[in-house]
Amino acid sequence: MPSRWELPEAMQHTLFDLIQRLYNRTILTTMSTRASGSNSTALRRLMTEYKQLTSGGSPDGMFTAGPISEADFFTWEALVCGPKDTPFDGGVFVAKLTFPSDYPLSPFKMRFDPPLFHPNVYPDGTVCISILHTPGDDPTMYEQASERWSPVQSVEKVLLSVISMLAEPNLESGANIDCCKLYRDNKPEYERLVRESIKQQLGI
Amino acid sequence: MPTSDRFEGAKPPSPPRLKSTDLPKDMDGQAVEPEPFLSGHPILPEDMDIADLTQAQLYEMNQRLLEESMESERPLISPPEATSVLRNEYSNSPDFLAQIETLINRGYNIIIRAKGDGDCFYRALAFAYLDRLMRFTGHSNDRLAATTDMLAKAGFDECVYDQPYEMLQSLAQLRASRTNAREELWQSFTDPATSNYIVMYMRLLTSAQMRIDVQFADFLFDPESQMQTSVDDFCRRFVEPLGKEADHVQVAALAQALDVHVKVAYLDGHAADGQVNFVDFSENASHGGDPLLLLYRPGHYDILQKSA
Repeated sequence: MPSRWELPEAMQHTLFDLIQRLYNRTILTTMSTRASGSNSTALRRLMTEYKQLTSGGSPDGMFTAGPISEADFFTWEALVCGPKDTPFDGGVFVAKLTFPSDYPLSPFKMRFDPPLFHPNVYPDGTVCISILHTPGDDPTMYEQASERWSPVQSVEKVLLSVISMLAEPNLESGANIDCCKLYRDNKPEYERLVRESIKQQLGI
Repeated sequence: MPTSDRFEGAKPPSPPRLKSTDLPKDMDGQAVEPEPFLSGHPILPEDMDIADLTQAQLYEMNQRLLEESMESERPLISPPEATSVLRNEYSNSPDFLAQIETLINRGYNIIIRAKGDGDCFYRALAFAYLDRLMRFTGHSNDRLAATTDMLAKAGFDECVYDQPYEMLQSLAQLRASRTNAREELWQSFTDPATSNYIVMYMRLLTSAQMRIDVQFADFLFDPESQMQTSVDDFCRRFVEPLGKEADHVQVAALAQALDVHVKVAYLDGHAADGQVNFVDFSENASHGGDPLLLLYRPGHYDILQKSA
């Protein structure tokens, strides 16, 4: 795992605000009354995961995640910090998590918005990582040893895997082919581009 | 090995092949270098032999084809049928036919099919288990109630198993005395919203048994590489994900976790004299009574019953 990552002061502020925003919502109570039909199992599980995330926080404060709106518990927003000692260091990346009605039998989808320049992120921002795919769903033929989705996984476990993925791209199952090539052929240029995009994002 | 090409499920399908001639013309001329770092495409070029593939690739292709070829319209659990219907599927294979006759002659008259979706073992065993709980009032649910402790002990978070457990418990409360109880059980098992959570719970139990019971550690092999693997790795990759087929060791673990005697009839066409091998799991289970019967055909499990 990447070690604890220190945010610049300004960023700490933004992150704190966002965490507060998520905390302050009264989503749990309003949503529980809307549970119905086939997705009530998924809803209950999502509420439990959200409760655990907000009470425990993420390990090392590497990310936050929660529903975007009270009206829809199946769409979350996650903020992921770029791990230290990687070109992503200093960045905070916003991703949308979309949950299926049979979660956790099926995995959720994760999409960075704006897209992230990374070998395992499709140009549209969708994260391509084995843990978000069931054994039968294999877009890039992940190597056999890779971990797959199972109902035992969770938002927290996936986000930690994504953070590891930022630090160590998996070129065996690339999603952004140009990025894979650049990473392989000219890593310094890849790192420069990543750092450049983070500066742009932060408006520096 | 007798063949039965006509019948799906009797034999693993062969992998798809793409003829190089089907590739777009504009690729001619310039040598198109494959991207060696992107192991992207599950299609065999014409000049590549299946023998060149690694165990792992073959396994993955098999699993994939199994999922693609399964009849999507088949219910997750089918209504009971006479075992004799299997004759139609093996009219070409005398060895299989002889084994089917053996089963019928020994009174195994009823087959309840599970859909071949990689979850068939777990679904079949859960159905057989609940069906028996329902019909024999002498059985208590105590063992089932104790399974949550086992899951907690194995380190699973309560939020992972609490809801599937509630579903299982509510089905375990069904009693044959109630009108349509059996129909209700069957309906629940054909409804993916319930059925797949039951499968999930069975997978968690199997995993928990392997994690807690040290004797399993020596028997866990990666079905792809044939290398011994750790309990955690095995459970995360081959037990907990839905759709991963069960092997002998998973059957043994789940029988122990539920403390039930499971008897599996192997309909494999291997014995020319029509003998059927029966393999017992947890023979001395404290649950007592007749064993839960499963019918194994290569790559697939169904439920077998003796007619009443």
